[in-house]
Amino acid sequence: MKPRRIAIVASGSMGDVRPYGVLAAAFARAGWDAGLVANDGYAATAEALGVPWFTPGLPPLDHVMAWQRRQNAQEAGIFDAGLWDAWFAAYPALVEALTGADVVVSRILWIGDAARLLDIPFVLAPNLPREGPRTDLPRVPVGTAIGAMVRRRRAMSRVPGAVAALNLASHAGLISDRISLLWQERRSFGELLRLQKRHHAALTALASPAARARLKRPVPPILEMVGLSHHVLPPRKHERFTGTWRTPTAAYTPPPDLARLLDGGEPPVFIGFGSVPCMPSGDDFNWLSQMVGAAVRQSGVRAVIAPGWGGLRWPRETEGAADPDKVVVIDGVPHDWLFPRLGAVVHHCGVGTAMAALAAGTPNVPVPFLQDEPFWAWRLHDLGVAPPPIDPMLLTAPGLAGAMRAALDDPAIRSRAAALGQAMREDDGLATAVHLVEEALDMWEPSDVAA
Amino acid sequence: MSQLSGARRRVVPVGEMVAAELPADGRSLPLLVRPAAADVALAGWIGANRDQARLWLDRYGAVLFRGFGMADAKGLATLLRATGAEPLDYTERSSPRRELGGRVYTSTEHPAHADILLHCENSYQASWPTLLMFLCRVPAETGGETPLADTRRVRGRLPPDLVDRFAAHGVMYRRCLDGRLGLSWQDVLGTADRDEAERRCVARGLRFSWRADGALRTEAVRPLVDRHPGTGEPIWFNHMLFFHPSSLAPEAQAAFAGLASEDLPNDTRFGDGSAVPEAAVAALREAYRREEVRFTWEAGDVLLLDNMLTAHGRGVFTGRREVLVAMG
Repeated sequence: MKPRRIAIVASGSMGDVRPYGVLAAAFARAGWDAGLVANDGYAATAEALGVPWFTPGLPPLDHVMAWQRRQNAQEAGIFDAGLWDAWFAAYPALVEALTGADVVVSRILWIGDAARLLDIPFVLAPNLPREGPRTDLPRVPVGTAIGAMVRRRRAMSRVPGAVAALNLASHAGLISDRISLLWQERRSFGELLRLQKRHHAALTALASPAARARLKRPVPPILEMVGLSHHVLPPRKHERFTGTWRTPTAAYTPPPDLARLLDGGEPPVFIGFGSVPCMPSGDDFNWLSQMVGAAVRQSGVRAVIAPGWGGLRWPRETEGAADPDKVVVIDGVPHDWLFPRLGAVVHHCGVGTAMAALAAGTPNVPVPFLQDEPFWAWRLHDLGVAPPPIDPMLLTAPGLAGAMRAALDDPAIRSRAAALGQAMREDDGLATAVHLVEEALDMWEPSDVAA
Repeated sequence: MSQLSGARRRVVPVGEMVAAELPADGRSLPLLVRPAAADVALAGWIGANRDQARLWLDRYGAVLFRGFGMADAKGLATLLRATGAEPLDYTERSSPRRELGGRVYTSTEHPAHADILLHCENSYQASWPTLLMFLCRVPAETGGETPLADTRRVRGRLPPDLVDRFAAHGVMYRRCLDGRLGLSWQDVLGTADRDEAERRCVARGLRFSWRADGALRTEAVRPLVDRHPGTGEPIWFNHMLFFHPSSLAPEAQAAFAGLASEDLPNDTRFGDGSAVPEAAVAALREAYRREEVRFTWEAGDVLLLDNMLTAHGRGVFTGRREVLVAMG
């Protein structure tokens, strides 16, 4: 019998895409013809994860980065036609990539419409909790920015009705979390409706008459599953947590300078802000790099600095040349491989990095910027695996130095992190996800038969 | 904390034009005043009844005029003049605000999700407004109150030895105006010229020094303003708690941990430069918390405060909120 085919669709930063590549690889190991459809630029990631096929059926990575930059700098123009033109222009390639699949999986609700056009069942699979306040976790609602970064966001209070409505819609599950997070940033109902219309027009243009009729009938996903662990967050009533989607530690050969740093002395501290492209003020990472450099010197830690999309670097101009026995600047080391070898992880609390650090059992120093990052930052602190989060706009060298030392030296933080990492590693999020999808698919009847 | 609405209030007619409702049991503020006749012009009434308004302020510290149909910014300046005060500029600022003309300001442009602690306007400066007048043009969808507290009652809750220590040494205010962690000296002093900035520091009684990177450090020791000049009652009138680092958002406190006092955007100490013990800071925070009174803004509300008898703040809010202020 021909193996069943699964197409998993993801778009965004590494933390947005990689877990879905890991999921695709797990389906492949379970005997599926599994593939990843993502932004052009993730082919190598997919291959390294062992995903059998990869199709660039979404706008290329530089569009994602441009979008991310505007988002983080809190600039107007999230709804710029150019950014979305590329998104909708990719629909023919997307639909082609999905054609022939037995099931489509994504956290983007719009992908469900593309699957319906092809009469393929759809699984909604976010790796984020739903947005909004939670009475059981009152500290920071998912999708709320903290402190100084809101300085530039006063405009957000101008369209209160839209925000409230979106939050409601998100709570009710009418729109996906990611879309509504986007909405937290720049909101306008007119724009939302226009985008929704463009989305439908772009899909309808590709559809046969029968498919058009299907598109008009809303159909819920056959399954909703969340790639989060109940060790990290209690699920809400309607949420089904599978455990995080992590790959078994990959074989990785570090470059000599990194290998030497990891082999000698106190375990180093990772410092990296992932796909965060700039400060909330729109400034580059020059000042942040200087603060990080001074904090590394003051705390005496040994450091792995990851430039990421924002270009974090060693500040030669203020700190002199980096001592290779103490500091290595390197990007692209797999978190699953690197984090367990470290003393602490200083990060922006993107969900991918946060979960990797938790699973590694490594203490954290949260420096959250926006979107769901402040939520995860406080969650890490409340779980006892991190000192309190640091506002990046107000970051100082002594503040960061103290937090890094606390993460390295506080026995309570270390033991809590180790215990939580152990518990998370015992979750088998991938097997659970594969099982849930197979079960849902076996129970699903094609809409034409059902109708 | 208590709410204005819901509590039983006694209504007292005052002449033929307005009626006053006394604060709820156990509270000293605010006095709620409503029109008792049609078309009462508030500016005219205040102008003709200044003594009555003053008596109310001395007793209650805060008077909320409701139902007089106030709406525009210019009217607020007129109203303040009717009390006999002249609207002031907002100088040596610590909060972002916009001037709408005629020395009427948006009350604050501080982000909606963060509240603002109770404080008395400019009580860290060498001079301060005696009266504040707020006008609510658009109440927030939720929250956005202007919490109030009677500074006499706050004072009454403080440990006497703490008050004595401040009375002996005064209150030290340190600021580091670096334009990154805190405001820039250009914004605070209203000039981009270093010489002029220095002159303005001197004029305001601020000791100052320039940090190597161009940040301006200022320091002032203000005597404890212990009594209300009109009523002679003991009050708690300073920014000791407001500018204390423990009042910052937790993410900012984490960011500033380990920073020297001179490099903090704001720090407050005893006048001799020694740090205020944590327990004393906690006692002060608790005193304000216990005395806090909240009422829900309605469009057109005018709130008149004696700045020395009544501390004010702002609650978190959602939606659009337009509250204007004039200071005199």
